[in-house]
Amino acid sequence: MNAYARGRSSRSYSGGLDGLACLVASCRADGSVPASVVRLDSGLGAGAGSTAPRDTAVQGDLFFGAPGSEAAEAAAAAYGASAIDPLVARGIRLELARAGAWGDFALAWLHEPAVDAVLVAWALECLELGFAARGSPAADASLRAAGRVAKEIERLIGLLRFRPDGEGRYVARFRSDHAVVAALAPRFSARFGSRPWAVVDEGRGLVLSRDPPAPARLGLLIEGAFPGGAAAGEGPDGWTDLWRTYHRSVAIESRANPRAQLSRMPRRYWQFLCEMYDVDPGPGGSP
Amino acid sequence: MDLQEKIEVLAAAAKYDASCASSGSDRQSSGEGSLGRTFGAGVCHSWTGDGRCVSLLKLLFSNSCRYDCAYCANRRSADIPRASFSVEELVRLTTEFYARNYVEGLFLSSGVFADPDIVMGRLTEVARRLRTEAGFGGYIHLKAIPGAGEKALAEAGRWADRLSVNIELPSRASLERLAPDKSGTEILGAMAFIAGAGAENAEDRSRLGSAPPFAPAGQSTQLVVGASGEDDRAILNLSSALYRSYRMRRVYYSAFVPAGLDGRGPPRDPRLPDLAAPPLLREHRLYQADCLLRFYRFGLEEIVDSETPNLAADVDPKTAWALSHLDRFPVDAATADYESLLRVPGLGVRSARRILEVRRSRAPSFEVLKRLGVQLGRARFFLESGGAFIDRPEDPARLRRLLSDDPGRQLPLFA
Repeated sequence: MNAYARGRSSRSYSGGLDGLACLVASCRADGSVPASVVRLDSGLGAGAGSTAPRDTAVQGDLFFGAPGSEAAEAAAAAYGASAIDPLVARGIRLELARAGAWGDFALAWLHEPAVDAVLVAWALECLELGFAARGSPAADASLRAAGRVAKEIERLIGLLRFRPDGEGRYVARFRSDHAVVAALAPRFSARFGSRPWAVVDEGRGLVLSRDPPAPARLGLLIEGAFPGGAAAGEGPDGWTDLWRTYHRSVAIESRANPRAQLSRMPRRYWQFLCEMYDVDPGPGGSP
Repeated sequence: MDLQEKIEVLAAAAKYDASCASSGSDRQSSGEGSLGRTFGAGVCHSWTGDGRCVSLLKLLFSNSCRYDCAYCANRRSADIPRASFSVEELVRLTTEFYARNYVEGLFLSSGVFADPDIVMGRLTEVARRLRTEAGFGGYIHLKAIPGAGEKALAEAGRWADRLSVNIELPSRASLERLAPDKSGTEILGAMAFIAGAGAENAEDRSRLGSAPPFAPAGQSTQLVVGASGEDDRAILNLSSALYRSYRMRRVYYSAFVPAGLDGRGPPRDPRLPDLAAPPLLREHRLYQADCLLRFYRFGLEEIVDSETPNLAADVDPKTAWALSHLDRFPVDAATADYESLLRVPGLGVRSARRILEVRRSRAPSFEVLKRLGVQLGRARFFLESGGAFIDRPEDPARLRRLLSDDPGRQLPLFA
């Protein structure tokens, strides 16, 4: 659909999300779409081709105002700080935001496995049209990736379970399919107000934490740090016990629908949910 | 009774209230020790074994009640354990559950254990202390007690994000028969006050942004389906009037759970129908019809009329309408306007908008429509694209068979 030639070349970039934005600018100048794209340094932690997660301040600004932009901006702030050419990156971000595509672009960038090649193709379509392209294979793949990431962020916002550690900090632990930890910063900063908190991405060895009034920070998880948090297989304490009782008591037996429960709260999240840790998922309850 | 037992009793007593929304408000606490924020969109924190979302800590303040409503598990004559929370217990439970990310806030209702003003005052006291002493900025939904005075309702709206008064039954006659202690006039009076105070507050806030909000997430209500004999037309007619007259954000439908289920009886109240199970399919169809009225620009008479006052069981209401208006199809995805697209079964609000968007740059072929999220399995009979088609809407009986819902399918609570 667009004026760009589909190339056979492989391109690479570093500098996180802004680095990818620079690559989009470069492809636009070349008039070609790369066949594959390699990330050299995403900062997304283990499992995402990262070599060096940064200790980075994460403040979601709402400047772009597009759907999903709060989480997307947080991701950009965490991972895009060392772009090769910040001005070029900012220009692309602004253009994509005007086209209504920046939020989905940034969310799709958190998808694992990475979909960078189709993201570049989709971004070029959007830049050419001046609005968020839909219906093309690249748009379809990019928007599906963005949708999966957005869904996981939405799930984690609800399903993380916090417990206070010895210092009064509320800590949650989780494993996610996509590299979404930094995108959680705006929501939990607002939720916890003046209280300190941390979320630990066990799979990627990252921790996002905030000690108000400082902004949330993303860093490498150090062994033994943040000992609190609802861990796998953890039994109830006083409050979790009350929560489990509540959770049991509000279910209406004559409307039992374990399939709906499982589809909305997949089995893979149960290990961190204190209300579910000893519940038998029953037939068909495999992840 | 310890806290664990109170939760067991007073959560179970609150579970038939279908409302679980934590949306529509934007409030942030501030200052040392503050906790919580409401967001425009609600959050589900868990799902119970019945597939329902848990968003709020839904509890009764007390399940002691002066009223003897036939359909209610907490009616005066029911032989059940009775309990009440203290204000302190509810404040602590809410903040501890919130900090652990179990819930988005509190939904507090109560049996009418004393004069309505006193009951309303106790619920409001919980909300006031959460806001002022615990620095709580999360979501609070308070049940407005019919019969409470305007002063008590105004105070409740000062601290709550949402207020709700349950209409309970679809007609005054049924209310008098099944809930003789309740007054339809008082229920509608409370709704009218909340709607009026909300509108007045919106005006105040548009002039002076710092004016304190009054129940910024508006009001909702609930009615029990299947406990009385009204048809779907009467129910939807009432819902439409409630949306129109009282600026209702949402009408919830709750399938009546008969005696003998969930520990509700026996003995069965002779005023109630003898149902083997809650009418879940009917509830589901009512939610679907409600959506058509609110988001799909359908008129009530297009969905149910005097000749067919009940919604079809075998197909959803939009498909039922399409099958009886086959002359309006197929709709051409390449040229149709938004309203026509909305009428196509299998095509939702979002996919209709996306079709309009995509038409700016490409033809909406069936391949493209599939990518946009259109359910072609259903829409294929009613849709063409630039003259191309997959199937034709020719034989209504055949189509009805093909599009009928699997009767064994478990239905979700909400459409």
